[in-house]
Parts: sequence; C-alpha cells; structure tokens
Amino acid sequence: MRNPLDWFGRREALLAVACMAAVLLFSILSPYFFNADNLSAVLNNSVELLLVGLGMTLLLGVGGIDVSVGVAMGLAAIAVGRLLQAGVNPVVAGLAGPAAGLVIGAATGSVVVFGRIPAIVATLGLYGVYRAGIYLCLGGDWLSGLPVGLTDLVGTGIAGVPLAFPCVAITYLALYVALRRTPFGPHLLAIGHSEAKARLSGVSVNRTQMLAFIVSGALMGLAASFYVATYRNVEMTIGGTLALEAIAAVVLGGTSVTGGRVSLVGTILGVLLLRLLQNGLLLSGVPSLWQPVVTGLLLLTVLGIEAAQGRLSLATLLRPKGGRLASRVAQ
Amino acid sequence: MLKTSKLLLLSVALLAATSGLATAADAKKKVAFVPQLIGIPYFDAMKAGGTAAANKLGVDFIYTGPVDANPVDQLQIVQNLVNQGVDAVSVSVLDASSIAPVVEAAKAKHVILFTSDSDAPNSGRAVYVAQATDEGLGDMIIDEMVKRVGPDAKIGIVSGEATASNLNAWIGYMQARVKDKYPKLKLLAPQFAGGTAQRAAQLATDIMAANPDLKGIIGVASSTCPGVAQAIETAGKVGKVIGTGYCSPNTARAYLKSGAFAYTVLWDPAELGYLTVWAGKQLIDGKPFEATMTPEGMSHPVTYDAKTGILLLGEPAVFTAQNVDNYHF
Amino acid sequence: MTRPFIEARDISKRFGALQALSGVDLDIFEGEVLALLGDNGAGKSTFVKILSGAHAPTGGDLVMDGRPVEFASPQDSAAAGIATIFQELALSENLSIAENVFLGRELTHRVLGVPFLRHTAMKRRVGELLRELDAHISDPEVPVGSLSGGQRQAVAISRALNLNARLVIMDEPTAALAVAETRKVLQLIRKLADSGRAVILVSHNMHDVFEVADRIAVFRRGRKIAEKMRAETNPEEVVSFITGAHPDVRALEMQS
Ligand SMILES: Nc1ncnc2c1ncn2[C@@H]1O[C@H](COP(=O)(O)OP(=O)(O)OP(=O)(O)O)[C@@H](O)[C@H]1O
Ligand SMILES: [Mg+2]
Repeated sequence: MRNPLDWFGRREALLAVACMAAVLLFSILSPYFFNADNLSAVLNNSVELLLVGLGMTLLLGVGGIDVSVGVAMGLAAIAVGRLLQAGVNPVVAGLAGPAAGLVIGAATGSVVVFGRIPAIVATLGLYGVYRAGIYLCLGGDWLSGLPVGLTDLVGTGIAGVPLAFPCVAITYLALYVALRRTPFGPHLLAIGHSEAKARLSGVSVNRTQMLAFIVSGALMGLAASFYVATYRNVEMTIGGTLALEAIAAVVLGGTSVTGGRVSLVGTILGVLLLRLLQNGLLLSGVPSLWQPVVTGLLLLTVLGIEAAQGRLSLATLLRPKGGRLASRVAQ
Repeated sequence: MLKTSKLLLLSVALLAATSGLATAADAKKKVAFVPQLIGIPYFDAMKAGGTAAANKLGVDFIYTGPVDANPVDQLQIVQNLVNQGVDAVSVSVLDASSIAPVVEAAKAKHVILFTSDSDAPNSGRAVYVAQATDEGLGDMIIDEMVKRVGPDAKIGIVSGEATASNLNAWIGYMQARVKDKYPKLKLLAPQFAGGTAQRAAQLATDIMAANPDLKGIIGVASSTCPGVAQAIETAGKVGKVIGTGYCSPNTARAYLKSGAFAYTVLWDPAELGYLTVWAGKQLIDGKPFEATMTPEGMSHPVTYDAKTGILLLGEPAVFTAQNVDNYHF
Repeated sequence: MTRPFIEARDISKRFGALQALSGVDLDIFEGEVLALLGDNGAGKSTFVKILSGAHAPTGGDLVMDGRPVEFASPQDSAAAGIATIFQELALSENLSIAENVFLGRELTHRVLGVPFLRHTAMKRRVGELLRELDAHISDPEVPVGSLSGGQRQAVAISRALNLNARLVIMDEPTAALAVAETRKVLQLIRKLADSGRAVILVSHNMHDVFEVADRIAVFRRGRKIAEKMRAETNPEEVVSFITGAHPDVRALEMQS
C-alpha cells in the first residue's frame, strides 16, 4: 500500500460525505434525530445488514451473488432459537449461528460452483428451497419470546461495549487482511474480472469461489445469532428482503455488481447510509412507504453516474495516478 | 425434488382421509373441514374445537388439507371430499375465485359446501362461519387501549404489507372508532414493515424516537408483534409505552408476561372450529339459522345475518398475561 | 540426437462435431525454438492448449522425459515446467503487474497456517524481470488495464520467465506489437532458447519465424502436414505448405 488513504477512494469519500449530509439534514428536520439513543438505535439496527453485506461484498467481488442469503439466515436463526429453547448455554447457541451458516454457505456454494449454475439462478432456486425449509422447521408456528440468555450476553458484551461492535470490527479486519495480505484477494478479483482467464492463470477458481460462499455463510450465521439475540424471535417471513438490501448497500459502496472490484469500507458506509436514511426519513415525518423509493432512487442515481462515467472516461478511471484505480481493492 | 415430496405428502394425506372414511362408513353424518394448511397451531386449534363439537353433536369430523397453503392442492382435496359423498364440507378458502365450480359440483351431488375462517363471498356457498368482523376487531383493540392509556393519548401503528386488505380494513375501523368515540386520541399514520420482525422493530423504535410522548403501539400484522414488543423492551419503555397487536397467544406469550404487551386481540380458533362443525350439522339437519342463538355446548350467543349469509362467532377475544396460558395456538 | 523434452504422440482433439486436431506427432527439444505455422483455425492454439493443460486431448499421449504425463489443469502443466503465454494473454486488467506476474503462485510465508503475501519480495522480483525485458515500466504496482499492448505482452512474458520454465509457449506474441517491441520479443525468445529452454512460437509472421526458429512445423486442418529444420526450407516452401499448394500436401489430401 503506497498511499495510506488508498483504501479510502472517491466513492468512499462520497458516501462519507453523504452520511454526514444526511446527519446534518435530519438534525435540522427532526429534533429527535441527533441524540445518543436514536443514533445508537440506528447502529443497532445495522448489525445484521453489516455482517451480511460484508459477506455479499466477497460474493459480488468474485462475480457471484446470493439472493438466498436472507432466508438462509432464517434457517441459521432457527438453529440458534431451538438451542436457546432447549436451554443450551447461550454461548454455545450463539456460536451455533455461524456454524450453521458455514454449513449452509457451503451447500449454497456447492450448488453454484459444482452445479455450474449461474449464481443468480442457483440462489433464486435455493431461496425457494430454504424458504420451504424454514416452513418445515417451524411448522407454521414462530419461535417467539425466546429465552433472554443470548440477548443478555450480546447486550452486556465485553467491558460494557455491546458484542456487535467488536464482531463487526473483527470481521472487517479479517476480511481486509484476507483480501490485501493473502492470495485470496488477487484470486478473488481475478476470478471476478474473468473466470476463464483466472483459470488459465492457474488460480483455483472453484476453491476461491467456495471459500467466498463459506465465509459469506458464516457471516450470515453470525448475523442470525444477532437477530435472535435482538428480536428473540424467528418468524416465518424472516430475512425476506435482507439479501436485496445487502446487495443495494454493497453496490452503493462501490463494489462492482459484475465482480472484479470490492470495497469493504464502501459496504459499511453503504449500510450506514441506508439505515440513516430510513431512520431520518421517518423521524422527519415521511411515511415508511417512501423509504424503499428513496433508497431505490439513490441506488439508481449512483449506478447511473457510474455507467455514465464508465462510458465517458474509462481511460481516466484506469490511469494509474488519476484518482481511484478502478481496479484496486479498496478496503 | 421439493415438488415430488410435496405430492407424496399430499397423497398420503388424501389416503389417510379416504381410509378414515371407509372404516367409518356407518349411519353417522360426516362434516369435513379443509384448512388452508395443516400442521400449524392455528388450524390445530380449530381442529380441536371441531373434534369437540363432533363428539358433542354425534357426527363424524374429517380434517384434511394441503401441506403448504397451495390453492390448487386445496381445491383437489375439496373435490375429493365432495366425490366421496361427505355430507357437509367446510373450507377456509385460499383462492376465492376458483371455488365456485366446486360449489356447483357439490350441489349436484347433494353435498353441502360452506366456508369458514376465510370466505368466498360470491361462490354460492351455503354459509360463511366468520371469526369476527373487521369492525369488531378494530373497535376492540382501540377500546382496550383506551382502558389502559386513557382517551387523551398518542398511539403509533406498525402494519405489515401496505397492500394487505384485511390489515388496511382493521386500521380503517380503528381510525373510525377513534373519530366516533375518542376524538382526543391521536392515532399516528400507520407505518408498513412488510413481514419481518427486524423491520417492525426498526419502525417501532423510530416511532418512539420521533414521538417521546407516545403512549402505545399497535402491531397490526401478527408478524409485526414480536418486533414491536422487542423494540419496547430494548428502549426500556416497558410500562411507559403499551404494546399490543392482533397476534396469537403463542406469538405474544413472552411479551405479555414481560409486560411489553398489555394485551392482544384475536379470536379463539377452537371456538371457531366448534361453531363450524355445529353449523355443518345444522345444515345437514336442514335447520335454519336464527338471527341470534346459542349453539349447544357454547357459552355465548352467535349472530346470523341472512342477507350476507354470515354466521358470526361474536366479539373478538382479548388475551392478557392472566389468561394467555389457557390458549395454545 | 538428445531425447526430446516432450513428445506428443498421435494427439487428437474434438470439439463436439469439430475435429480440431487429428494424429499430431511432434517432438519438443530443449534449447530449440519450434515454430508452429498454419492458417487461421488450423489447430495451433488448440495444440498449445493441450500442452498447457487448458484442454484435455481426446486421443493420444504426451510423454515428458520418457514418461507419459496427463495435465488435468493449467496448474499441472505449470508444475511440470511449462509456461504458456496464451493468444488472449489471460491477464487480469484489474490487478497490478506484480499481482498478475505471480497470480496463482504467489510468494507467501505461513503464519499459523495462513499464507501471507510477500509483497516486497514479489515487487522486487517483478522489477528485476521487467528490467531484464527492458520493458520501460517503472512501477510494478500499476494495474495492467492501464498498459499498452506491448507492455502487456512484457507482463505476460515476465509471468512465463518467473516460472523458470523448461518450456515456454508463446501464442502469437508479436501480433499486436510495433516494430521495436517485436524486435525485443524476438531477441528474448532467442535468449530463452540459448539458455537451454524449449520454446514454442506460434506465429503468422514468416519473417519472425525465419529469424528465430530452429525448426518449423506446419498445421493444416488439424493435421501436422510438414516439419522442417529452418536450414532445410525457405519461406516460399512454407507458404505453399500453409496454403495447401505444395505437391506433398495435395497428395496427402487426395488420399484422405
Ligand atoms: N473451445 C473451443 N470450442 C469449440 N471449438 C473450438 C474451441 N477452440 C477452438 N475451436 C475450433 O478449433 C479449430 C482450431 O482452432 P485453433 O484456435 O486451434 O486455431 P489456430 O490455428 O490457433 O487459429 P488462429 O491462427 O486463428 O489462432 C477452429 O475451427 C476453432 O473454431
Ligand atoms: Mg490461435
């Protein structure tokens, strides 16, 4: 890394400014927006999306996608919930989330990688399968009012810091190191750029793709543990919109939809911007029905600008010192 | 794979139903109920109520339905029951538009077909056994809220899908009730959470943040109840903000006990199941429904509207920490 | 004569109904530049891809140092000491030069089983390779997407050199290059052979071929129809082989 700000490029700066602008705007529009309680509620509401989004960043980066990740999280949440119901130690139940997620991620990855089915099609199919799985597991009844053991564990956290913060921070750091400091990074980006070329270059395409799905699965499972801890509930419709929200946040963050370029910081900022907008709009008296409209328009705007830029000045985007390299891993 | 296993289950269910018929081929009249799907606590409770009525009234009760709320499967099951010559078949209709031909076919075979729990109004069904009216549900949740927060308070609403007509109808009657009876009560505009607890909790949290003087929150869709309750607990507002919603005792039990929810409003599906089988027996016997009557074995009267053909169970039930453990659905 | 490094025996390859190669026998010697010529679609790239493990042959054997080998993947072939510069280059434009040169065989050191990249060592090595090639690229961190065609070719060649391969295969390496850059690549090819490596050069450029090749094989419609030492032939004859005008080819094609 030549420039210490290398990981913080134009898109990331834009998002950071947008987040600050949103905070400023909503502070003016609503007297209840800018206070510790509300802002910490926004952060609390972001935890699952952050974890799932970071996983999705890898998948989009490698040229894949997983639209089943939300319902898959539902399955992992059932595992956690059932263990809590059975009176298992909350630490064990909490760890069962990532473990179950890892297994589900491996299953999803196997279908995509070894089934040689395009990821979007395969995971759309798995969406139905996992949804049916939730249905069969829950039998039409929800897990409600689960024991508070895990909730207390997560809330108390370490030295008064809720467990979500170190979890997200460690996840970010681990992914940063994996992408920047191990062959996983260049392999993932090479495959995302062109699977065929990566194969010719001797990259183990299948292994790298599987790894991306497994890591994404484990993170989704971790999110499931947080979901159960926070809501003490697993409903039939769990995770229905999570995958789409995650994809929106990741793309907003500057990761390429078609692969070959990732930004972890972008994903984090993308999630925060989405959640800030949802919260701030409601507090400013905009009905919640408009929230998806606003976030949808935001996404379209960003992608539109990107497409226009790409057409107009691919050369400048690619030029080594001309601003952000379209190519680099921006962590 | 999924499809075949589903078909397998379906055929097993049908087989079970038909073999049950074969052995019970005696003089007893047969009343069937086809739920929207089998294996969920709500319809299990209706089944229990129906079985109780069958024992009391001396009829055979057949309970069979699709495993995954598939309207085509449901129609096939109803068709089969009609073909087998069951005396009366009641259905909690999944697809109101496709049931009419089956009603015709049933008439030709002198099988009485009627609806229960979910109606198909223009299908020619004999009667609709209704759990509660939208108006009754809307009024009840507001009346119970006013009992707890007084007539001068601010109340938030978290609903599910903005397109769900039953949820919107309930909200409409809530607003009408407030306008008629409690003009000082301020009902905030509904926010729509879709189906997930996460989104419901997010919206409930935001509503509480935007309205520090909020006195209560109503979760309209049952899927929003856990999220609303959890948001109240997380915000440390148990007792300060009264939570409620249209949700089953199983869903709300923990929150009723923690105090995040003071009450919930719904109906008792066991009673509905009882009334369904009673209505079937009444129709087989050719006895008319009266405007108000108390069926044998029930503790309160039910009403019948001859114009719409609706047999109404009555007032919705209110579940609280005190009575919730008597219900299991 | 010495034993060949690789013997291709009766190699054939079908793509569905299309017979891309049939019955190709070819020996590859170390220290020698072997040029493959032939019309478009003659099967040169297909043959080269079989050697590099990108395609599995439908029939025939590869024998390496006297022992039969099978390459299931490009990794296998690379491990056996074969480096290939594909016609389509197979570079990742979104990665840096250094990342491309080491892609798939990065230098790492393991800490607790995790392979950490040795960025500095790789950068240094790539710097050396580029200097050796006289490629006029100062910064190995630059993304390949920003390089010119010749510079990309240099990166691809660096990749092959870095493998320290016994056989370097180049599929039309000079096709996109200017005169000066072509010169440099040809010199390099010669240098590789003189250092004892085997080199296969696929080219349409007769001048280039006659400048560096020791031996010339001509492909036509999936068959090897001629194989000559450079000293025994001339451009005119080779062209007549390629176009099918040569009497030997006509005789051969009449037979079949
Ligand atoms: N992956 C593939 N699938 C199907 N057909 C292929 C494939 N690769 C090559 N072919 C066909 O095999 C034949 C030989 O192609 P090949 O690329 O080996 O020719 P070539 O001699 O390298 O030609 P050029 O000089 O144009 O590069 C052609 O007809 C080509 O269309
Ligand atoms: Mg070729």
